[in-house]
Amino acid sequence: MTPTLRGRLQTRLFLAATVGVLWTAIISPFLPEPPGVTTGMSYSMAFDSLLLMAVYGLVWEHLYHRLQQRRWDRDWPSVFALLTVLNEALLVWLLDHLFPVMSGPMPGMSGSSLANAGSLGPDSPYLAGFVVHMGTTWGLMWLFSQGPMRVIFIRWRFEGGLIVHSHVPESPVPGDRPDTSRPEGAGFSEARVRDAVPGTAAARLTLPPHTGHARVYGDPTSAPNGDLVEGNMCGHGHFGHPGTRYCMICGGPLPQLNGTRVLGRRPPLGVLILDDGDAYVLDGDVRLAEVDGPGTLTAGRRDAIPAASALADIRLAGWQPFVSSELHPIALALPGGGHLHIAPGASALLMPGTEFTVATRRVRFESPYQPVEPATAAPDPRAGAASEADAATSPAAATPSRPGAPRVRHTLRG
Amino acid sequence: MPDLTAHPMPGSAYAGAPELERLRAAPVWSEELVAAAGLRAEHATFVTVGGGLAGFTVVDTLRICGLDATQMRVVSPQRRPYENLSRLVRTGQIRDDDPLRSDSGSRADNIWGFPGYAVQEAIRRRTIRPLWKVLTEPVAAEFYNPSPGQVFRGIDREAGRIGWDSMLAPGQAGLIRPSAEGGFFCLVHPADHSSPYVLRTPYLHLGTGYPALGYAPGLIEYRLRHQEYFNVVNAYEPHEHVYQVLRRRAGTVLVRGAGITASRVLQRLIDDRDRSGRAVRILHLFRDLAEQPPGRRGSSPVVEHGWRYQAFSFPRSATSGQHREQLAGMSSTERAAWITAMGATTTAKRRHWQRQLRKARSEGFYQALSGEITVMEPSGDRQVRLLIADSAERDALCLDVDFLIDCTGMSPQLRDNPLLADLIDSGGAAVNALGGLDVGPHFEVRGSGGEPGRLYASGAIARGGYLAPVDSFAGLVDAALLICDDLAAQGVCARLGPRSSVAAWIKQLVRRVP
Ligand SMILES: Cc1cc2nc3c(=O)[nH]c(=O)nc-3n(C[C@H](O)[C@H](O)[C@H](O)COP(=O)(O)OP(=O)(O)OC[C@H]3O[C@@H](n4cnc5c(N)ncnc54)[C@H](O)[C@@H]3O)c2cc1C
Ligand SMILES: [Zn+2]
Repeated sequence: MTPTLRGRLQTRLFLAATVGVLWTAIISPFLPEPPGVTTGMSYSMAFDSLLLMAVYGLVWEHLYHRLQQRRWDRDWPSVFALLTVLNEALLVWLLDHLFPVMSGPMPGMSGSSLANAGSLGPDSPYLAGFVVHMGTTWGLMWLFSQGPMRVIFIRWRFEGGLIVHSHVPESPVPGDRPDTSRPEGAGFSEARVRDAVPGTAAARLTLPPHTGHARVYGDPTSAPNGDLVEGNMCGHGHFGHPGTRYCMICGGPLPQLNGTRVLGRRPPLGVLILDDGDAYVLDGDVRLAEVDGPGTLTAGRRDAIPAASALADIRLAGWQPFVSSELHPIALALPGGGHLHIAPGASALLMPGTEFTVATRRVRFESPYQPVEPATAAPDPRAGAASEADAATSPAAATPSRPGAPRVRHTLRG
Repeated sequence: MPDLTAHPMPGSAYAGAPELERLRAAPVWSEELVAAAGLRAEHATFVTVGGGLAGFTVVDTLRICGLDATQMRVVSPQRRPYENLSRLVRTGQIRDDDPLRSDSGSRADNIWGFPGYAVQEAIRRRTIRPLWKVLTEPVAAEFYNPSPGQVFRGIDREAGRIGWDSMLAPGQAGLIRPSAEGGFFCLVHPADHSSPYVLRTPYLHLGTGYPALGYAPGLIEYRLRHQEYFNVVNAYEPHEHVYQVLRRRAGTVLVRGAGITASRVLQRLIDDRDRSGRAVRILHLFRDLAEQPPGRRGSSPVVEHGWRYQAFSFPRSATSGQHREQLAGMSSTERAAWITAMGATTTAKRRHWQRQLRKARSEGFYQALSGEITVMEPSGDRQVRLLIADSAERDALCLDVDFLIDCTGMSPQLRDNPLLADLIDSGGAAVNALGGLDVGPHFEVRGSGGEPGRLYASGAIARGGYLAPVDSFAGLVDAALLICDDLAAQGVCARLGPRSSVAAWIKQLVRRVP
């Protein structure tokens, strides 16, 4: 809580009147007072000190407030609030003797107590009681302001320590016209965006929801590769993944879950990162091969590399890449920490962050298309496998082992 | 090429269906109009659109103030309130255990802010270190910062307690219109693609968050022109591949921006470099190496090597205390100026990455540059060629880098969200000088109509209002309290006084349903 001046004053008085009074009432009889001090006198000394602390504290608060203005962020760290007991208690101790609260020699005192009864120094017989009382009272008041105050007065911490008066004016009648103009800046973003409509709009088919009919925007046959996938379009006409919230090109919002589905040319699905750091953009079916003999892994378009030298194939189905190998088993390390082994001929979905090993070569897949669910919920590659099966474009997918479960070898074949 | 802009925005809720088109054309709806459109209507006492932290804090506070879960609806595409935040936090390189940028008492899951995250962590890990940190912050220690993991766990727990799931209306709000009879209608497109329906409510809250990530225009142009998505990335989009590549081979990466995200990205790059031992060169582009941080008057060394340091996005006194009070008394133009100045890009000064950067500088693999990128294009060998013009130096610098990570901030443009664009265009909301929804002291949207009902807005979309840090955990709670006070004044719920507040707090502590 960073206080305002009024907040300081109110909080000080409130805490002294509640926590201070209650605690003083409890502790006074047990304070280590010198002999001859009756319980009644102990009470009166303690309460007088408390009163002085509260009243002169109002002066201190003004000083603290001044000091706070010198801090650029106008913050008042709570350790300051705790440590100011040192200067304040010193003043109260002096005032206690000035007024005098500490009543000097008592009948029943003897020896050094008697001699030092009126002293301000460390030999005073009243000092121990004073320190215990002030220290504990201040400590409790401080503790109370660190937590319970926030609970009792829920707006207190936001309003700079105010207790009795809410500073925020009452809500005006809605419908008041504001003094500011209508959105000017918005027009700018619109203009910028119009220019940015892609030159690659390719073919788009719009499917009005629940009709099953496609409306054609442009000429579908002009789409390169013919890889039309169902997706979403941002307000600026950029085509993107149906499951992401923000457009991949401009960062604009993509309508989620519902609304019109659009067919568009599939953008690259991600990158394959080979073990030497070479990255290969996954914009079509890809073949991994040791073309130049063992030792150098090459990634290339699937139809450009003979199947005989292939280590593994990555095939794209809709928005999902699947890895398979005709000859080698593949071990996948899933992003959630699980492992999956697939036999030659089977295929598995590549989630972003998956690393797979095929014939000693380790390849990682990364993609901007992260699962929509937060990663705390372990992604389930089976969901992808099922949708691929629906698409019926690849061999049956393997089932992964549960993350954390012992390694299981699956030998599904398509 | 067909002109796409001539069509109603594809994907927006109302494309196609004529009856929805008719509704859209009407600035004010009535029961008959909705019935004539053949839409099912449901009633709720309170509806919030968005279902992020902004909506969560309001619903949480209302539940605590005595409103029943059955009286409220949350229209949201996300199941958990922090889904969007967690995605952004993660791509911004803050892992689950890394520090966020707020203090112990700023909690979205506990409107009292007590016990704070530090106490909770101290108990959970059986150590007093967090408590020591809170005690001595920011004098002898850095501010205590909670981690995303802590924040999300807390929200899950509170969401379970208040029955968040039972209030969810999964889907997206397509249109919002005031009702002729008072209150508001909200057209909902359910997530399960079933037919749209209408929620009728006297009190509607908008918490739709950042409308867009707002990529820099240069980045958008680069992507459109070159169809290249992986060498130039925005820090708020998933870009793990950059780190993965640089773990496996040497390379040069340019980081642009000087905010908290830039610090996190640099830390990640250097951490990875230390671990992998690859010769990764890091260039860091500042707009201006000598810019002063806001609010400072020269005293302490807060500008160093181009960074501007500040513990939080706004000084703490803007969340509570003097600056908050001052802002409440300012005119909207003064407010806009203050918020722009104080909310400028800054980052937290943290020892760990300070040390890292010092080391990186002395070893020569980190270099700070200043200027603006004027040209960005792919060059041979999958690199990006950049021309950087510095105002001070005549010659533009030409650089080939493997990757560019753009960490310049998100700038919310309300119009990027079709729902808000439509709301503004149909006269249902006004916009303030900073481009946020113009809200009053209780976050009621000005000019919304619908009396005696009310439309509220909080979170990023309400920036530029009376509360500067409205898009932070503490700010969201403050906003929620102010909204609930306004609702209490209208008899919708009870106002939290000392007694009810303590009772409600105890209930939360022992995890009883409010
Ligand atoms: C990287 C990052 C780090 C941050 N760190 C901190 C920090 O350390 N401390 C701090 O206090 N604050 C921090 N913040 C700020 C703040 O806590 C978040 O911005 C907060 O999550 C905002 O919540 P929100 O509900 O406004 O928005 P969101 O969480 O974005 O939620 C809005 C939701 O509304 C939905 N929506 C949009 N349109 C519609 C519609 N038409 N119909 C239905 N739903 C719709 C969206 O899909 C989205 O799910 C951080 C923010 C970011 C981005
Ligand atoms: Zn876009």
